[in-house]
Amino acid sequence: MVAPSIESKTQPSPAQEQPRYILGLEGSANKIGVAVVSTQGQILSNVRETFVPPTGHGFLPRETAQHHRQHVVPLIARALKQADIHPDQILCIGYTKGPGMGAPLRSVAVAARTVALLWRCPIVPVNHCVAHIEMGRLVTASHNPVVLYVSGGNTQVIAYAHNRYRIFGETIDIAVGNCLDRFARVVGLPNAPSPGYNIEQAAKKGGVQNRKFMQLPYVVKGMDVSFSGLLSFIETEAKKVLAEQTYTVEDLCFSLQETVFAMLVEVTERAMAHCGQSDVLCVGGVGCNVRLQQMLSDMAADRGGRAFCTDERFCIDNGAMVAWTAALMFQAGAGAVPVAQATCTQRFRTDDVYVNWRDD
Amino acid sequence: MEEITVSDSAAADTASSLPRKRPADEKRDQQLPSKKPHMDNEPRPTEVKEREISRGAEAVVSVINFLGRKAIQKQRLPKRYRHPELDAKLTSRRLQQEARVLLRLRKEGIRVPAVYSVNVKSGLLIMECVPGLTLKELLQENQQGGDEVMRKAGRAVAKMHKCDIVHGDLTTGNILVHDGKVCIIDFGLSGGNGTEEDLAVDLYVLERAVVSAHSEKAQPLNEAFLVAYAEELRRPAVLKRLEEVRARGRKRDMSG
Repeated sequence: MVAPSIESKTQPSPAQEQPRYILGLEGSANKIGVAVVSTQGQILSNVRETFVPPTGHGFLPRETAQHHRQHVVPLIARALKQADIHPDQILCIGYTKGPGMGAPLRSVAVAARTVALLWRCPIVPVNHCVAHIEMGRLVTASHNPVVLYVSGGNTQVIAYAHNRYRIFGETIDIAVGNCLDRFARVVGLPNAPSPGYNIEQAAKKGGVQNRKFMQLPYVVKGMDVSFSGLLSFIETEAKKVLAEQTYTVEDLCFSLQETVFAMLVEVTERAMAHCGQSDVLCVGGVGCNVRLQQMLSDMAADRGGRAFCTDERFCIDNGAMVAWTAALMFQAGAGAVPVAQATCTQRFRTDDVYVNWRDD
Repeated sequence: MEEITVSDSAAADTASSLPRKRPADEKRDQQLPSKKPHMDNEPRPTEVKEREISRGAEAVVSVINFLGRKAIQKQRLPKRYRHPELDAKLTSRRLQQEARVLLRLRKEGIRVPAVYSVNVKSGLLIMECVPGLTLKELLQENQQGGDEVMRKAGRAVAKMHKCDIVHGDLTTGNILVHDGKVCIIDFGLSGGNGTEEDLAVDLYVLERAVVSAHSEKAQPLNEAFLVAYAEELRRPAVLKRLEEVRARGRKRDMSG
């Protein structure tokens, strides 16, 4: 391949236009995603591989990182091919700085630094939670909603004010997705395609009118929620009631969903009342649960507002969300860092990010 | 769980069955010369302008005419999104909890709205309409005497915490000041058996509310509050816990 001449760089011909695509790499948990988006928010490719542990097990950092290392190069190649672009057309590389699991984050950060050096692109570290929010706003075109961010690692109610995504409520112990995943292990539901999806299907199997509702601990403290007590309770009770055949696995799935989602919707509504907002945006892996979406819609409708939800392509961790947030940050002029500072961190709060790309 | 549905006459009983006036109460009444005329000046039944004050996540709050008195009605509405069994249970549990906490604090001589009527089935709580400005309004309006009000608030919160009761949403909007007296309102998220952690979170929420709404004067105001609180409560462990809560950074940057 002939290196482009100095002239062609300063005076781009139509064939060699200004770079205007962003490559995004995400791998904070058990998914690795790579995507190409344009500076205008057009998604050209968004590919993903998921590490699925055997039934009864969760994903461990070391194995997950190994999975990501195996897939990152083929995924980048696939993303570029699907988008039909050349590395020369890449404006910058976005990658997930955190929060997430250390080992998987590091694997992906290494890959991001490598391609940035290889293709001489600026590198932009992205906050995973902020990326979820920006993706949701892009896909649903919701302007300034209250955000419910629910996934395996995070549970937060967020509202934007004065250039920060402020956390109004959050879990005080485990995330809602973690609670669902661990329950799935106890009752032996498989991890493929995801434990949450299998719980959702079990809950509505044969019609919800046939379900028997089991009272579970309901812990809401102001705008915060807690799931660990509920999980311990259902872990112990499940074995008992299943043995006694007083409840079925489907009944338990149904009761668990109804209870934890009601807690989430309640704190979301409280944040909406507090901020005087009537629209809500739901992001994160648990956000593709149709029952949760329906409950949010009911609540928002009663407040004269709307619920904005996305499907599994954009709810679940993906490369496009990181690429798009990197695009916003880079274009606002303060995203790129020297390669030596392109690190990652397990703890990175949503409200630590100064949102300089929004001026409302 | 037993229902504490109280009929109108029983509500009147509740009010009259409150502890006999203790010396402190009498002293208070004397200190409140405006109280009697104020009652007389209260509009006659037909003159009470019934109106909705707020529509929160929890309930619709309105001013109503209750047996010839201006009163506050808190109506909890069923939530369509929630499983009916769960919804009914939560509504009744919380309503009862709120009424119990109000009665309990009143018995302890802490200024909170008097409960007039409780109807668990229809999710209704009717209580005294306490006049006055919220601490939020007061601090915004009046630059003088903020420290003194904060000291009073500190003592009031400490008295509440002495009963192991946690407010659950202790913001400057939920503390009323009238004639120099502090009244805590909105016990919708309150609970008994508060642990040190719960008490510390109450303090932290208030601290953040003061910082976010009155940032330039927050430091001396919060200090005045905590000094008075500590004097009244005499439980250093709570303040120590508050430091931990602060360090943890939970609820950090709550604005609004």
